[in-house]
This record gives sequence, structure tokens and C-alpha cells, in this order.
Amino acid sequence: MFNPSHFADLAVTLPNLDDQDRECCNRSAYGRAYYALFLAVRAAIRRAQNKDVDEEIGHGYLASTLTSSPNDKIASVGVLLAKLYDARMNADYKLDPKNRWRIDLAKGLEAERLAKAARDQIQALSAVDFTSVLADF
Amino acid sequence: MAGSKGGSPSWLTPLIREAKGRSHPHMSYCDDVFFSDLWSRRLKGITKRQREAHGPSHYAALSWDVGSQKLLKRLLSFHLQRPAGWHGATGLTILVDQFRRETESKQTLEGQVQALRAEVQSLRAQVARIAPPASPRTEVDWPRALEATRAVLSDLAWNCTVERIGDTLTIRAAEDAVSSVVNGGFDFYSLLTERLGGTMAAAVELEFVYPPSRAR
Repeated sequence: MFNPSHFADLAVTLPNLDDQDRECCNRSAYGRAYYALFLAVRAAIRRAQNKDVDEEIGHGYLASTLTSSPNDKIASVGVLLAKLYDARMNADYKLDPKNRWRIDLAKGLEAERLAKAARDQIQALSAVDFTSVLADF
Repeated sequence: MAGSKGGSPSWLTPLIREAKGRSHPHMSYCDDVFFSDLWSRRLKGITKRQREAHGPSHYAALSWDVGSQKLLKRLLSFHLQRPAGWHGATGLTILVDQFRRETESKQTLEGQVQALRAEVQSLRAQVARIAPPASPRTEVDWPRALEATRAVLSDLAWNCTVERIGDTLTIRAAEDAVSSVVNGGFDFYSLLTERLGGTMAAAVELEFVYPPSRAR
């Protein structure tokens, strides 16, 4: 079975690749970082439910449900998911973003920061008890 | 197949009447006998041969009830326009082959449309099930958000400044803080969530700005 943390590892690497299109790598890094965390969190929830790890959960619904949790660890996962989702949407769908992403997409440090946050969050997922939100999925 | 046994089908009668009403040198061919013969021998014969040649699955794709009126209208039209010496059987074979292709194509398309409709209905049902309830956008308590962000930066001992610019909190990292900021995103969001709660922490737009010397 594929380990989504490999997406996060790749995402951390992409902004640092030399001799590559910088913005292309940065944009890709946001996407891989988001999906790394999304897939890892969804799998953690589905495993806790004894369900198929690939059973769908809506992107927006997953992030908003987690951020609404009174459990800080769960909410923090949701916050990072929401930030990554916003980044991914700009990276994947905006050729000429009019907001701050115009700069962030061109420079690699922010992509690297979020990618590392996703990677670290995935590593810390085992310490997150999703029991209180399982009924929501 | 309604009316396929003995004589022409009942729905064929108006077509024949329509054909007879036209003025055309070949109109003498357009009579009940011709069409009864055409229907009972030509079409059935060709259909049977095709069914035998292509097997049951091919026959299943052919529906002579669906569109049979359309076919007969076309045969009628073609018959009226046929040149002298035209060999009916050859022309019919061509027409039936064409009709078969169009029918199959149409049915394939209809099948795809039906499958897509079913998929859309399924997706709509899923969306209705998983979509978050409509709620007003989270109002950010900006003074509180600013204070919380400053506190988090202090907790992490990051040499950064933060200010509100419009609906964004802009965090500027000093040269010596860049490494900590880039490597400490997970801790930052954890602490910010603890201070603001998940909903507001997610709603606050954060922009990290790095020294130009570190930009790449």
C-alpha cells in the first residue's frame, strides 16, 4: 500500500531542486503536500472506523470538521489541511493569482515550510485520537 | 416486434398513405404489397442474417422496434428517389447497414448519457451527504488573532514581526529566523490552534515574508 508520507517527502524536495522551473516545482510541492496530509488523515480516520482507507471524504468537509473540533490536536490537523488546501487551490488553478500567492508561488521557502509542516504532521498523526469525530465521517 | 408477422405493421399504414399521396414516377412501387414484402422478407431476412453473423450481443444492440418507423421513412424516401434500374435488395442492405451503425451509435450514446446521469445523481447524493452545513464565514477577531500570533512567535522564540495588513496577518522573518520558520510550521499551527481554536486559526490569512537575501 502506498504511503502518502512519500508525497510529503517529495514536496519537501521539490522547492530545492536545481535546474528546474522554480515556480513549477513550488506549485507541485503545494499539491503533493496537501494530498500527502489529506490521504494520511483520511486513512487514519477510515482505519479507526475499520473501513477501506480509500473510502471518500470530501476535501472541504474533512478540513472544516476537524477545525471545528474542540480537541486541539484534531483542530490543528484541520487548520494545516485548510492552509494547504488554500495553497493547492492557488497553485493548481491560478495561472495569475492576484493575491499574495503571486509571490509565494514564485518563491520556494513558503512551499518548503508548508511541505515540512505536512510531513511533520503526518509523523505526529499516530498521537491524534480521532475517536470524537469518527461519527462525522 | 409489433406487427412483424403477416402483413405490414399497423404503424406502416400512414407512411404508405403518405407515400401514395406524393406525385412521383416510382409511386407505383409504393403500395401495401411492396412494403409488406419489404417488411416481412427483406428486413427480417437481413436482420436474421446479421444476428446470425454477429451473434446475440450484436442483435441485442439492434432494436428494430426503436426507430423502425424512422427506418421505414428513410426507405420510403430513398425508394421515391431511386434511379431507374436500382436494385432494391442492394440498396436495402446499404440502408440497413447504415441504420444499424447509426442505431448502435445512438444506443451507445444513450447508454453513456444514462450512465452519466446515474453518476451525476450519485455524486449529488454524496455531496448532499458530505457537504458541510451552510454557515456564515468565520468572522476573525483581528486584535485577538494578532495577539495570539505574537504570543506564538514568542513561544517559539522566532525573531519575527507580525502586523495586520488588510485581512492578512503578515509575518516577517528576520534573517536568523528563516530556518526556524521554514522547519517549524507544524509547531506554529499547533500553538496557534491552541490559542485561537481551530475555526479561527483556519480563517486567519497568514503571509510569511522572508528576507530578500533568502528568497529563491
